[in-house]
Amino acid sequence: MTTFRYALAGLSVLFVLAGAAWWLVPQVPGRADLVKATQFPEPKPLPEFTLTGSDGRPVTRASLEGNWHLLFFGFANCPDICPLTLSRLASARAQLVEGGRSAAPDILFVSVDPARDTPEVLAEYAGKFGAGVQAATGDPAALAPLAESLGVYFDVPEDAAGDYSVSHSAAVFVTNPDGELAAVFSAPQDVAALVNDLPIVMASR
Amino acid sequence: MTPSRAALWLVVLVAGCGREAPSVADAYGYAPLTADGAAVAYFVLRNPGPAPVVLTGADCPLFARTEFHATTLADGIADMQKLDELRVAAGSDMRFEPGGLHLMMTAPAAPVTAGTVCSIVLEQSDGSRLAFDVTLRDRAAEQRP
Repeated sequence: MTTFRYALAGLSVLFVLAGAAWWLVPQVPGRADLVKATQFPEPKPLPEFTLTGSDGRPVTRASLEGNWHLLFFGFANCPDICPLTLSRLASARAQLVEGGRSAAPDILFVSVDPARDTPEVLAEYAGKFGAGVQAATGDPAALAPLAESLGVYFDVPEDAAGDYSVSHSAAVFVTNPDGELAAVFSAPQDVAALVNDLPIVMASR
Repeated sequence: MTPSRAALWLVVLVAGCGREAPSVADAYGYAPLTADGAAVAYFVLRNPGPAPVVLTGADCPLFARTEFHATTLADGIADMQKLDELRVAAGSDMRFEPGGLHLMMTAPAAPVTAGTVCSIVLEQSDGSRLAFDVTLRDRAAEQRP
């Protein structure tokens, strides 16, 4: 009978420990908790680049330093996937800000359609998505260093005139305050996944 | 046939036609984000009839061009294709939804802002037209908490 009591007590302790572990482990941030993002073990340096911001000023690699950024490539005349993605990024950012995260990432929309997306157009466009959303563009030569380093594909039709569509990568790239690539969210974007994963990525620095 | 019986048959006939005719449900859309930008509309096209419905065009008088487009996402690349014709099989629905099939409206005659009601007409291959209204929303503001 005594042996039975010891066994019962041991089992009880095991159950308590297992329960505590189950409760505690999800509270510890780690790559295993990422539901969508692909985080690089070591951040990847970005090359020097110079784009033109919606205020007409240069946007460079140094512009990314000092805060976390979410980079998304697209074009302002896109009615569907681009505004859908940006609104989800803006929504996730707003939730992180409301949650008291001072390090909520800024959003940089990089237009691959400089012929139509002038700084004035980009200012109007980015302004619609609220605080923390900026936009920049550049001619193909200016876009190339950043796009190639991130593996971003885009294709503007050669005979582009009037209404035309631009194929482009739809992933979202996360850069850290050192201006390095830290993580990637593959498309399509999901607000809940962004809100879950971004604090984990940002906490790992 | 008495007048009352004829009226009853007429009611049955009209009701039957109503069930068979294509219709639009759950329509909504978003205003352009820039002065010359594109608006978009999403909806469900229901075809309860025994024959396919073929859409050959669309129009919204607020814009110079209204076109069927499809966004595709393959290998991480987003692409958008214009579709000249859409075929909705008998007894089925076709969903126009974000990230997929959508109605794209470009070249506004005058700036179109959120809250504007857009009267859309879908043209069918048999010459018939299906009209519905969409109130264009502010997409950028919609998902903010």
